[in-house]
Amino acid sequence: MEKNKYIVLHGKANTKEEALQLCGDALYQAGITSPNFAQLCIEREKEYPTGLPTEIPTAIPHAKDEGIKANAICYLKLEKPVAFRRMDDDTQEIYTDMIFNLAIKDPNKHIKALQNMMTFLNNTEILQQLRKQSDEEIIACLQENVG
Amino acid sequence: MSKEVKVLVACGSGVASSTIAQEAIKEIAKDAGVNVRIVKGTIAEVPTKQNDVDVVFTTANYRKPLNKPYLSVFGLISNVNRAGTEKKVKDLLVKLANE
Repeated sequence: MEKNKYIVLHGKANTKEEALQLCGDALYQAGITSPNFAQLCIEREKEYPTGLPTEIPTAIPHAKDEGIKANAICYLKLEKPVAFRRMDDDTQEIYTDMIFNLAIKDPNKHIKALQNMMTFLNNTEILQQLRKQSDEEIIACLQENVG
Repeated sequence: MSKEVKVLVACGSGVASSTIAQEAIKEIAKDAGVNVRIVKGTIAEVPTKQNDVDVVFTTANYRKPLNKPYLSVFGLISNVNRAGTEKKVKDLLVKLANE
């Protein structure tokens, strides 16, 4: 299986749009996505939101982008949570300071990592640890648990 | 002999959550002894693609009217009510296979 690339960011955002711009810019600068990835994710979020109502709520914004060169996850830890509407019920919102922006190149070859990612996001203990870890530890943790 | 059930699994972009749900549905069908043929799609494609399948599953809310049996399967990608969702999927697939 092709390994994921990881980017860890710490940032400030007042809205999910600002948060997605931070992630999209970083993914583009790393040569992973096209320059408009953030905009694609923002547009998609309007119609099909990605907030997860798990014990520790997170969001997994993503979008189809022909320009994606590698499977990657940009993890953004915000100083203060922002609102995302829920994937399962878009009339409801969750607040999260942990955003996992997914760049997915070929989903059918990437099933295991996607499954691992969902297991990871449902694991309250791991997510609690992630909040305390250094960037290097976070990347190691993601590599170990997601792939 | 039960018939093959054609399944549409759709999510917002047809990329992430429908891929995960598709794998989960394959497993459920296998355990239930139901033959399934799964196609993936986006939620925007549901109105047209529903015509080629027996049942529609989506990982996000879908509120428009449908001609085919429909189930929201968010529980298959999250642990939120996973067992309940698995049971509903299984029951629906078994019912359709024996129609």
